[in-house]
Amino acid sequence: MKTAHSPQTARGIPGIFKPAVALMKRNKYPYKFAILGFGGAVAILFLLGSLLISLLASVNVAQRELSGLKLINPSLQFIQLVQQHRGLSSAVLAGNDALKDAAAAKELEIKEAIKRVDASLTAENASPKTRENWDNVKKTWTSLAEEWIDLARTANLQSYQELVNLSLKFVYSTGDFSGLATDPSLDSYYLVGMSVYIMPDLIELLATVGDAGADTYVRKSITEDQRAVFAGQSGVIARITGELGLNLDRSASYNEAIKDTLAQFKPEFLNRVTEVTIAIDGDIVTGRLAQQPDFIASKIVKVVDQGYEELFKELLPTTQKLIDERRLKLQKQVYASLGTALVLLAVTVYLFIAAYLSIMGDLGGLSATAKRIAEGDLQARVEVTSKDELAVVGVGFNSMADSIDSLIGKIHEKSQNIAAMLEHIPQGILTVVPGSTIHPEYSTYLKEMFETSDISGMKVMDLVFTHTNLGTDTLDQVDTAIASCIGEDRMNFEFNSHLLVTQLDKEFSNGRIKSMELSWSPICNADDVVEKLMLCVRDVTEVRQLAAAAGQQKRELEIIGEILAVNQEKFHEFIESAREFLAENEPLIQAVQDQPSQRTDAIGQLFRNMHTIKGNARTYGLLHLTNQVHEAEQSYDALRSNADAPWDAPRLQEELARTAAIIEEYAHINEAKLGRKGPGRRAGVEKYLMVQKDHIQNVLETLDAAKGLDAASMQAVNRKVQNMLHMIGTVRVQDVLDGVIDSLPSLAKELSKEPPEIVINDGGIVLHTQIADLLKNVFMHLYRNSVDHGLEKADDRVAKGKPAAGRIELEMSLADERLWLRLRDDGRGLALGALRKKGLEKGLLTEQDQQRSPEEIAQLIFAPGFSTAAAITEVSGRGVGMDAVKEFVLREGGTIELRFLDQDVNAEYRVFETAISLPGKFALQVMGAAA
Amino acid sequence: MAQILVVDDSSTVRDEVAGFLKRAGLDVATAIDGKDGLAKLRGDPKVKLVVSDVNMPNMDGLTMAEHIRGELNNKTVNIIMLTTENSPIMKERGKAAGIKGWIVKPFKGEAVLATFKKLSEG
Repeated sequence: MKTAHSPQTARGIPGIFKPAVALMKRNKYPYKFAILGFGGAVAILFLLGSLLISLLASVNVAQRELSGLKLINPSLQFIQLVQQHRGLSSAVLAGNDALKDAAAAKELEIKEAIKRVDASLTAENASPKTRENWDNVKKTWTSLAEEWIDLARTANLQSYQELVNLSLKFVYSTGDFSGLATDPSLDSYYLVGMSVYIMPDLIELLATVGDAGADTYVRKSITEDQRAVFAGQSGVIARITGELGLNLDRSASYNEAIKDTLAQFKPEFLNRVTEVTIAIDGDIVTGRLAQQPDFIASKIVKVVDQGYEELFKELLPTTQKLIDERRLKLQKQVYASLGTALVLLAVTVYLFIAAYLSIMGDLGGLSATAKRIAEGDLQARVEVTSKDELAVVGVGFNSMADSIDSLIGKIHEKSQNIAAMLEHIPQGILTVVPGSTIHPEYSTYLKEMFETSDISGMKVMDLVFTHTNLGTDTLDQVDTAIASCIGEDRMNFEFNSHLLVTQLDKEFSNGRIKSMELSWSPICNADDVVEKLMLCVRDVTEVRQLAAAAGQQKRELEIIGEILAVNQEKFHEFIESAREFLAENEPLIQAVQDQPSQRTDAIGQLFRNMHTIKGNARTYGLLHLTNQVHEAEQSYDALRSNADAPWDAPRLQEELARTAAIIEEYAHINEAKLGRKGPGRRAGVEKYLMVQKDHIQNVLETLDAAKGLDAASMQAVNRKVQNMLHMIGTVRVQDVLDGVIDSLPSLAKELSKEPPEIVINDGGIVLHTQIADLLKNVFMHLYRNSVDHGLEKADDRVAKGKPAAGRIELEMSLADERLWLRLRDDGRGLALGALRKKGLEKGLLTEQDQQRSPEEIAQLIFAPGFSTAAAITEVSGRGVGMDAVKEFVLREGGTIELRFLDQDVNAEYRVFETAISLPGKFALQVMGAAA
Repeated sequence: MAQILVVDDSSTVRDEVAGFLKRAGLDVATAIDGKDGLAKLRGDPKVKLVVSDVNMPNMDGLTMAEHIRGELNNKTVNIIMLTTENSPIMKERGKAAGIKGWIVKPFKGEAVLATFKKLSEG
């Protein structure tokens, strides 16, 4: 079905989403979900990955710090040992050989410490740079260990100084590389600073000062420069110690666990360092050197030992513990984040799949239901379980299905109506579908009409157009026109429908011919394309026959009209002369056939003859005849003007015969229908016929009006026309007696009587014109008699209790093929006494005859001369008495008598009627014509 | 400048069809075969309606229609065929070439005039 609505589309999509919407629209739902799922998964995994990388980086930082501490710890032990060995080596070089063994033992300890550092490097998978730095330290130590014994004391100290500095640099760089220098947590940050940077620095400074102090005490002298160095170093120690104090406070404030330890360590250590600086300032910087040589060194050894002890027992382990805890915490964080993310991901995926299944389930339900409906299951409905937009679609779909169901129901009902109509309609109805075949639904009557039951799927050309009066070319045009319309735009029907024939004659078994009328109409779809052609076929055989009969009647009537316009004598002459001319032409045609040389002369004669007939026919207005004669004349003219034209004698004879036939038709109508045989009497016939012309006009009009009526109406018209035809040459009795009746009032006046009331009941009978004159004469006499002798004067009538005006009734009837006319009046009746007396006077009755019956007496009235004299003198002066009346009647084969209507046998006056009978041929019963 | 182009190799048909349409007040040009028709149409883009015979020498009507749609790329001109036969194959080709209508000879002017007027104005 075509609707004016445009498809509903999602409105108001922001431009930015259009490409994405287009992408989504291009894909099915599983793909839509796949695209969404992929995008979501990538985003989640990316975020998760970033989080993990960041957390793992933090873990890694802690790991590297720990790894660094594991290197730094043995390295610091190594430095401690080197520092101790420095003291020993310096003492040995100063001459204390007793310490040689101790120095050698320390060397072995140093070797062990180096091995531990090497092991740590391997275990912690140290970087090449770190290894290189360490190798440098090792190499320096190895060479120093071999040569220190040969060095001067000062040079020895300097070499050790270099080694320790190199070692400290290794520790510092390891701290830097492992990220300890930038420790991200405040609690460990200050500890790292103290353990890795400040304490080793301070200890080395103290150790250096201790060694220099010891050396000074050994030499027992000190220069100004050296005093300044000691003063500076003492200041540096004080500054670093202050810094250490601050660091210790900070570390304590951030680490509850070591707060107490540090609180104990700090004052003790700081006091000892202060003691050292006081000792340096008081005994060395002043240059007094009053104390024992190990005065400074012994103090420093204690501080250094305490510092290292604190470093190895508290600071480094605590630092390591803090960092390790941090590492574990971060690792837990990684697992927690990973776990949470995975759980959330799983939930999301679960819900995502649920949404997918829900939407796909609803869509599947919709599409499955739509499919079922499409396959014809109109009861199929969507089960609506959700509350979302798809549920709205489902509800809408169901209501649509309801509408379709009800619509289909209506269509079904309509189809049934149409089917019933096709079954019962008395017309051949079929539709032609592509391929010019007949659709299986056609009207049942079609089978009857075409006398076959095998119609479905037949080609329309085979069913309707075989054995018809149509030529092959016409049939081909019909076939092509049908094919050109079906499946094409409606305009093609307009172009070609004029080629679709609308009437044909089709032959059936036994040579029966049926006339059929066809009407074609296109059945178009919504796009105005002709889907099929509807063909209605009407069997008009009967109507055609009636129409043909009517046509023939019409022609006959027209001819009658033409003939009646010509007087009988002239018409007779015309027919005779025409016959003669035709008789001349016949041998002439044959003669030219036999002897072509006579052609020119013969044509002249043939043409002249025909031309004369035509001229006469025209003069008399015999149009039907003129047309045929003109045709014949024209073919002679054609032969005359073209000497080479072939002489087709059979055709010319045939034409001649046709002309003769129509002339004979005129002659026959004139004689048989109009009864104008022979030349006729000029006046009489002429006069009758003048009256009849109205009839002909009437009939012609009736026939003209009858065009295009159905069979039943045609039959009615046919009957009417037949009646009218029979009425030709007839006349109503009223018209015949018109003049007679008109003369009665004046007659009554003459006789001092009231004008009588005249009643005529013609019984629906008309009279042939031949009898009109007779009846006029007869009834002139009878009516006058009635007024004169029958009806009384007004006074007498009133006295007798009758109306003043008398009444004369004429009644006509047909019985036993005779026409009866009965006339009676309400006057005094037949004066039997007077008749008897007059009969005796006239010698028509003897005395013996007096006893005759009243009927016999009454017949006297018809005796020749009985009433003549009186009639002439008294009333009309016409010389016609009742004897003449009887004579007229008898001459036409009729009878006339008086009949008594009362039983009063001996009365003077008897009620009577005059009854005339005539042969039935003079009358015609015309139903309904009385009016 | 014509509205209608009548293409037929028979001068009788040409005169009858073109003559009728001219008397009815339409602008009509004629061509004697498919090739001629194609050339005329190329030179006169105002033509709105082509009425063409099917069977013609040099180039038949259906081929001409196909060229009009293809070579000339003229998708709008209305094409109507004058024919004496109508096979499914012809109709198939006609559909593809956008043939609007089929007039079965003999041509009856009164039956086509109103539609022709409409098609030649649009």
